[in-house]
Amino acid sequence: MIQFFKRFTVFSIILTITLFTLQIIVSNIIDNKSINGQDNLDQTTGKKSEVLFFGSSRILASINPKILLDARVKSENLGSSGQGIRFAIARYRNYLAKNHKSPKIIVCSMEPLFESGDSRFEKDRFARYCWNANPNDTPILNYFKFNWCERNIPLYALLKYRKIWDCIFLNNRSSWLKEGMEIPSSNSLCATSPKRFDFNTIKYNLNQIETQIQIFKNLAETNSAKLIFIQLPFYRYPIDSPNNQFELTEHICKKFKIDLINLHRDSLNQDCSIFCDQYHLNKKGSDIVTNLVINQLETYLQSAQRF
Amino acid sequence: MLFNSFEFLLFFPLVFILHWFVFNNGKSSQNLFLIIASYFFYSCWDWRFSFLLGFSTILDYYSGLVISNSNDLKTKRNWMRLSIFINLGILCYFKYTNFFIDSFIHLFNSIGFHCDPFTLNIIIPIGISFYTFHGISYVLDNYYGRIKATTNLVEYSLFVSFFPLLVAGPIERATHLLPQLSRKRKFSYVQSIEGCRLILWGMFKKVVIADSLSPIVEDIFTNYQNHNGITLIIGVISFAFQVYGDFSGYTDIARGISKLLGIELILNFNFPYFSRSIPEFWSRWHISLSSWLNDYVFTPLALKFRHHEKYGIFIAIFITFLISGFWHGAGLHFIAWGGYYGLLYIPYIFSKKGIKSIVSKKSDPLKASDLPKIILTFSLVCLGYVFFRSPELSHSFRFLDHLISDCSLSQKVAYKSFLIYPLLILLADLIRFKSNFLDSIPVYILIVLMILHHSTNQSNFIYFKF
Repeated sequence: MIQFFKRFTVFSIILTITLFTLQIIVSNIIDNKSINGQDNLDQTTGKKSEVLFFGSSRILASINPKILLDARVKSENLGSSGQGIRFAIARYRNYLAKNHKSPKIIVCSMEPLFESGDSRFEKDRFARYCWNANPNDTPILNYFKFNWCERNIPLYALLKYRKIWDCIFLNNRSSWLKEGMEIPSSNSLCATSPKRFDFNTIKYNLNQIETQIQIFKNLAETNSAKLIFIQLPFYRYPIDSPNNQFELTEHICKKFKIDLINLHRDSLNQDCSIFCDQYHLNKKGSDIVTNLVINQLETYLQSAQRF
Repeated sequence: MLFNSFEFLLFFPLVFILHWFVFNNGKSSQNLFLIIASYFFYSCWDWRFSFLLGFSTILDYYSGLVISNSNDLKTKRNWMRLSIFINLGILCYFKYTNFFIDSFIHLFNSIGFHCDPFTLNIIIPIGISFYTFHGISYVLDNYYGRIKATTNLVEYSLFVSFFPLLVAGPIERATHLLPQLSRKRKFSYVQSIEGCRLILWGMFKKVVIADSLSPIVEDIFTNYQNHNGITLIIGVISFAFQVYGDFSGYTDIARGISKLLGIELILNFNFPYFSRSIPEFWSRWHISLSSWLNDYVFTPLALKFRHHEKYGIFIAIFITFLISGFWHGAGLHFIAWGGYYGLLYIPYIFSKKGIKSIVSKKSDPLKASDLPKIILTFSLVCLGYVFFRSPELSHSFRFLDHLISDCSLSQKVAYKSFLIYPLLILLADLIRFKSNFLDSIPVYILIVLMILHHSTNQSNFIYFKF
């Protein structure tokens, strides 16, 4: 029995040392680097942005911070694929914890596609933060419900979510700008016939959304920031959507007295040349939309101190 | 509670420690503790079915006692029949009721009587096929005088409910397991180290091989119309290794856990994909079920039909495989799968060697010249898997039709990179069989890392549903 436990202990110790060593090596490789563009919690420290953009992949593919910078607006696109308003709040809190000062303007996507929150899509993108987590990143880890093992066993989260090779080779970063935007595809939707989107599949829980909006609004106001919502184009709406889900956003904004940048216009929705798929803009579309956003933001920025 | 779950990672070390350090006074305390652990393990799925397990245990225990102690042949026969009838009745109710209702409705509708389709909301108790077969084998062994019934309910109860084999086998025999339970178990270093190795290899087969192949098999079998013939062949080969990795992985873990508790379970797989003939395949694949069916179905049937000589053997084999198919699941595709193997035995039965060709040659060493036979046998096994994996019989035929009509070597193949997994498992099997090269600490650390790397998709073992 003693011999068995000795052997078992030796194996466990060697295994633990191996895991620790590999984790330390990987942690050093990825320190202060983003491995997939959206895991940019470390890159948002010490920024003095004027505008932050939150939302899902639709925001991520639509707003180009470089164009905003050309217009002398320093911004960051913190959209994250598949995430809803609860993640936007968690991400904003993370930004505040790391910068101690809020930007003047917070722009957040608001639309029927934007869920109220229990979405755990793409949590693998944030698995790299699990081990030895910075206390400021804990709310993000809590949001994704990473378990005890994932947070405390070295290398486990990276292995489990299959991020180890991305971390070692850093080969999945090429399409990401420093400011967090995904460089959109230059493909056009005109040559294809996209599937009809079934809006009935969306679990749009209005009560939950409204609760989160109130939390977000209060948080922004506490930090002297203005919260603005944005609604982006969606290909061929309203042809594919029998109900008026997108009109609901205006109603919500009026109810909470939040300004809305509504780019959900027929002129954009019907233009196949600006979409790379039904939900996401292509390069041309993102340039158009970013310039429209700049025009709209001008009014708000005039009252704020410029850098 | 799955073997590859976090809960089991807490459960088993606790059982191990309590078994060897707290309840180590004698065989009774060891057995009693393992029964409590086993019922707790079983209750984690659905506690209500632990009563069914208890009922089945008491029924077979008492039947065994009556059969063994009685001198009256009629009494023995009646009790044997009663026990089997109740056991099979319970199995049929839970597993086959909806199948029979559905089949009768189809039959009535096809002859012109209109019946509205309906099914009963019946949950199948996990592992029922396995523990029912445990009980039946015990009663039959008593009836045929192969064993003397145990008078110790605790030992018998543990024989039926021992948690490593409770839900997916291997199907143990009283002659093998009961003697181990009737003496105090002593800790063995060699046995425990081998147990740990088996657990790691089993996890590797399940998590790395089977679970990695699972999504591509699912996609290819579900959307077979969207794939070409070569991709469908890859799908079938992938399923062959998925089911092997899954089931033999489970068995390895079960055997490893048992070894750590001082109990040896029978070997269930013996390099089945290196078989040179279909009979050899069945002597290497799911050995515990094959031998069970051989002893309790084929042999009595062969004796019954012995006057028909080779035709009698064929009928006995065919019926045995139909039962084997039906045991696997309530569906015509499972019966077709069994029938397919029955038909594959025809060339062996009616060859010049006759019945001798069916006798296992697994002890013969493999030679390079055996390769064509191995490939042919594997191809036939894969063809059978089309029926096994399909959700229904018509799907199997549509799948095969599409495979044959849309198959060309020039086609672009999806998922070909996934063939690395079958190669990996074959290589591991071969190397492990030939040498101790893989039994070193760095290799096991690599295996642990690979298991962690593939632990995202935790899925049920395929044989749990049987």
